[in-house]
Amino acid sequence: MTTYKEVIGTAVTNIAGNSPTTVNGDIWYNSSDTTFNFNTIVTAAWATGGNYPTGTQELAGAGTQTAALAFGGENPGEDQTDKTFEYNGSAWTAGGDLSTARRLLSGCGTQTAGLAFGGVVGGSRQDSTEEYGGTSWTAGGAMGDGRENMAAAGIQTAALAIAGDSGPKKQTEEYNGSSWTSGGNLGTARYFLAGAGTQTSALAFGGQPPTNGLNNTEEYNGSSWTTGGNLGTARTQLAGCGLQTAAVAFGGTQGSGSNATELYNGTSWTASAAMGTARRLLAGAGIQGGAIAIAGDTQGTGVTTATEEFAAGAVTAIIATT
Amino acid sequence: MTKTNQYCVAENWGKGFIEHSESRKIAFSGLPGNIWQVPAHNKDANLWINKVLGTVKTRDEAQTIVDVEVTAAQTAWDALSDEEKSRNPRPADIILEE
Repeated sequence: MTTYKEVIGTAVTNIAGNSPTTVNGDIWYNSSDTTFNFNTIVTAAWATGGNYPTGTQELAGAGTQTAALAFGGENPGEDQTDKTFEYNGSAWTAGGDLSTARRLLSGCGTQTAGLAFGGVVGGSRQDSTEEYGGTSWTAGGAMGDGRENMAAAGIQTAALAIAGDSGPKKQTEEYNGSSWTSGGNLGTARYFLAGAGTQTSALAFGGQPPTNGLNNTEEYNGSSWTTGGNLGTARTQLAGCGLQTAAVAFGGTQGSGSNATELYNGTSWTASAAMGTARRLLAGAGIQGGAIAIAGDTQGTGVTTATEEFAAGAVTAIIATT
Repeated sequence: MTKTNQYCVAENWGKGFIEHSESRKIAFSGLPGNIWQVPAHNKDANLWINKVLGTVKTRDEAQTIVDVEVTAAQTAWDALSDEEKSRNPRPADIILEE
């Protein structure tokens, strides 16, 4: 029988486990489980999803790429809207209306257990919270103070409200499903930032001031914030989702709507595939491997209905058993 | 000068307008006025323009469409209150590359 070495001119590397490299086409023999392995690398990419029913900016999102929730915001017909829409991976349908129409609000949780808090009605900053049960919103506990442009992390019964605007804030608040209590202060006061993770393992990144955007990242452990790796592209009015050790940042602005996407691994950010539609003041939801970008403002043509779905890159080992 | 990019006008209809498989082969950039920038002299980009029934524009034609939209956005920003201006960066000019 012809050997691999005779054909290719080199022997297959023998490794006890997975290959330490991520090179497309790498072949190795895993002596631990006696399998031949072949790396196939798929690059990260965005694709268009079903368009949001109405061009909207300053809205909030929750859930996953195939079961997302978006609510509130501002559109050409309403200074602030109470509309909620549910996404099934291909199309948006109407959900229950918020009790309080608002924009620049924050949200987290899932499609069937979402949370909305803060925001603005007219010129008045809101401290109210609403909980979504899959069909309708009900009142939750009020925040300690009214604010807008916060970041959010967590779930309906364990949420985190991060910084925001009533002047740039450092304060965070933690929600337990019925009431908010104070959490640790950020190192850098800011608003129009993005967040990811859980109440006890959160991430905050980007934002302003200045109006052309911050690049710094901070990590939360449930009681205090520490400095993380800087974004490669400083920006404000961006979106984010995922976990503290596997987050994704996308969109935002430095004057022009941004299509930049970056991935966080718990230490540093790396650039990834760009979105098709650059935008700011969008909503985001999902995980690093399956994020969704919802509507926003293009800073050129106004609000957009564009939805985009992110698929992270992957290294797939094709296994042939000996 | 060798052309790097080509432009078309196409309306994003949503799901299926850009597939992950296309996005892995082509660098897409959506611009104001439903302008899409994709690589020039690229078979996959040409196929995508055909798929979305895009109307091909020269760089100058696309620039004119983008400029109209950006100027309108800048005019709207200029009319904002000082407080709103302090919270939102002024829309920047977008210069398309050949």
